[in-house]
Amino acid sequence: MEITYIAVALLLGLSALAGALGVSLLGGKFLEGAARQPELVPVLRSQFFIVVGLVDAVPMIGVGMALYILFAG
Amino acid sequence: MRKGEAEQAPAAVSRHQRRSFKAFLRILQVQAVLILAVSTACLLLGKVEAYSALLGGLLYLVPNLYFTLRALGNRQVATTARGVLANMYASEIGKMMLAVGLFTSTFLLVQPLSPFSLFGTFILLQLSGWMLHLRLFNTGS
Repeated sequence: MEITYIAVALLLGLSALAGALGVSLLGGKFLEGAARQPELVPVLRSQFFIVVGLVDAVPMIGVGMALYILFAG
Repeated sequence: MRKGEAEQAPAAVSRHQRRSFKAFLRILQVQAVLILAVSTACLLLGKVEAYSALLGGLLYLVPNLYFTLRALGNRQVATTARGVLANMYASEIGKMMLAVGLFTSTFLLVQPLSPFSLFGTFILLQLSGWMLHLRLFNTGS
């Protein structure tokens, strides 16, 4: 039982870490791009939206599996 | 920035935002059709598999719909990079919280559940989202 909690904690923690790193790097690059060319903010916004969706897909699967192990496993 | 440019910039942002918002909503519509197709196909395996697939699809679709509406559907357009970034981060946090809440309530309230159908549909929709978004990204819309 305790090993289950450790597995869930690792899954949730690593998912959160991966998502946070990806989105923060992306945000930094977005600010760099917007500082260089402020007129491109609308285009960068759409591209930022797309890439955020790509970055947080795998952490979301990890979170879903962790919650399944915790509540239904 | 001169007065004329300052008036034009939010209009251009709003136009671009509306166009991309429509494109992203169309992607979500395609994914909703995909959920129904997968769920109907899973009906051949059994009733539990079918509603598990439907739930897996909804677990993907509802947080993403919230994210799209919150990040791009907002009429008060943030024109500064800082405002855009703050709006995106807030939307992302809301999406994560919503997904965790929906996953938790699904696993607590729905019994029995087929995990293969649920996660299979969820992962299929993530993959289809990647493909559709990258296609949109490459066409430069």
